[in-house]
Amino acid sequence: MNDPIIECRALTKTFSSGTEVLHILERADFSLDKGKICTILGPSGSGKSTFLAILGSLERFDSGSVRIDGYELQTLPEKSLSVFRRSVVGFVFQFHFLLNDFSALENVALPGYMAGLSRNEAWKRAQELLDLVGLRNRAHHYPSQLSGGERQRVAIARALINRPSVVLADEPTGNLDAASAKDLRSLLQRLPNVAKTTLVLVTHDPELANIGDTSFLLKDGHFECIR
Amino acid sequence: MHTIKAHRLQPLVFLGFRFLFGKPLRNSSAPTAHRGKHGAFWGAVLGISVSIVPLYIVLFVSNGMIQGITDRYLETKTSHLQLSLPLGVSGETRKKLQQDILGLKGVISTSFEVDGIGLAASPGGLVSAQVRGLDQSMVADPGFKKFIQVDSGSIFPEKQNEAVLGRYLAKALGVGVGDTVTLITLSDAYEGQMLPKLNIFRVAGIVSSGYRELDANWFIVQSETALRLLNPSTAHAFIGVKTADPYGPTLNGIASEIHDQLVQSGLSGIPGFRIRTWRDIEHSLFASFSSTKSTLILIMAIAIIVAAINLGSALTTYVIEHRTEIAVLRACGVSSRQTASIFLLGGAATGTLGCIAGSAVGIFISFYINQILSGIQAAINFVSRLLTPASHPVTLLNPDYYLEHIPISIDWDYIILIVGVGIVVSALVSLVPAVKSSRVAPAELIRHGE
Repeated sequence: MNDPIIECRALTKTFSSGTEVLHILERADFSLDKGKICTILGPSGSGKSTFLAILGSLERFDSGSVRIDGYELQTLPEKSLSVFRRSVVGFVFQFHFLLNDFSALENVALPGYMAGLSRNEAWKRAQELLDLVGLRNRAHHYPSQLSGGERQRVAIARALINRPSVVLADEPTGNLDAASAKDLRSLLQRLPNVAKTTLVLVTHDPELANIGDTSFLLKDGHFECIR
Repeated sequence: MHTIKAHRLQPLVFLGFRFLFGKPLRNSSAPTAHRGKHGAFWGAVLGISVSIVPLYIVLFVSNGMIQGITDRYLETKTSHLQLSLPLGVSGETRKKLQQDILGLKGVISTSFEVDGIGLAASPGGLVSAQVRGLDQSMVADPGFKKFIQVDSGSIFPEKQNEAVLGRYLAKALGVGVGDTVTLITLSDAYEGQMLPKLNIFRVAGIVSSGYRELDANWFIVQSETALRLLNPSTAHAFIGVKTADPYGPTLNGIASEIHDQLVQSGLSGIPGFRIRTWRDIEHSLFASFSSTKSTLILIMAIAIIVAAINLGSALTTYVIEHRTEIAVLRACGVSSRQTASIFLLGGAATGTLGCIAGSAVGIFISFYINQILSGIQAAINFVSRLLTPASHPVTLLNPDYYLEHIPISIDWDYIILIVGVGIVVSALVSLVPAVKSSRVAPAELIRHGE
């Protein structure tokens, strides 16, 4: 049996809204092996995106433990989180969040360049990743000149630039038409093999949920393995 | 487990520059809509440039003016050092002193001068005159000749009954070369009473130093004539000393040596003997110049600060409007320190661009200020004549108060200081937006999605 690359134990997260306390995660356990695709489903507001944000260290949690690729997130000081984010995880959001003033190539290369790659290395790696996501000829186009599906593929290439151990994708097909969503599903399915990474997908899309090696339903603050 | 260390400056500069100024136009395929929104920062660059230009002009023009006026005072009137003499000192003693002073290291020339006041009269008017009794050696001095422009006639009265007049005195009297003027001075009469003494002079020449305030009332005669005409109680006799470096530290040393000579020759205790540098003599005049210049520079500096605050405001607005992009960077592993550095460097880069552009324009305008002023003056007068044919010509720099030609000297120390201060102030005003940007949480992206 492989060592899990992600392991959460007794994870608890609450939000306060006035006098009301929302229990998003209640002593939830979760683990995922390296190189696998895991899909997480659940009703709106169940905390899927919050869980993803916790895995990516965008959000702090109240108690429990989260270990990703050897990093114990509960013990990491604030200033080390950026090191964790650029070294271990890559994000793909429902909205592409590309920088409008930068070309597709630059959008992909920037996190690598900022993380310490040389300019040549970052741009070379970005070009390879754009090839990988099928956008070789769109490298110098700006986000406003790309279709929704293309933007999301650029966002996937950007998530891979620092060769992350884990890619976290939050409803990546949520804003796409059926044809684009299908293309993206195919790309995401190949990702662990071609990019040597592990993929955690939050989705409402049943077809996207099917690409996972394993699927969890997040309900009432707990994960239920459904596949 | 692997980690990537980010510690280089180039990516921050790249990102900061592109965030604020957009992609360079030469190779940009960016949609024009993306370029337009960077106008605020090009505007900030322009604001800083525009605020710096007058600072350079004020600085270099006032420096040039002060330097030009100072040079004229030193070379045509005050000399670098003055050894005041009692009016009754013998010619022999005076010549001996001049010889001794000439022997000192760093002394170029000496000349004897007697100054006093009088009234110049002609059929055209009656004007107060500053009587200057000069030696031939004064007008032979290269410094004197450099700044004295001879409008007509000769530079020095060759005969005892000849006088050389300042341009504006001649104009006020309505006289030219060859005309006669009467100089009225006071003579001691018995029992302490003063009586007017009238002497007629032929105008031998009309001259100007280029600064009206200095030469307006010059009535130049030979020193022997001045000694004879001027009242001892109001006249001032001195030996003017020219040195190799009137602005350097050696001047005070030469003054001390002259004082030592007076002591050795037993003259130091006699009333009337006194050695002074040009700084002592014209102290109040140059203090006034200096304070005027400081006030102008202060006003101009406030303009730069206002421009820098505009930059800070533009940066803050940018950070507020682009929280999402900043959150994206943070989610991609850009640290809060790096985010702050991007805006700090961006602000400093904006200031640097503004300072460089403003310096180039400011130095260019300062360098050609005489030509530019002449052009503007000519244009104003041309339009004025078209609109009102009978109008008087406009003079932008009144020669009553300014040099007719502004000497410009570019001082690199000031340029480095202005650019340095501009960049530092720009970086300082960028601190607030930089701190704001560092506080943008990447979790905002998740909430954005919800």
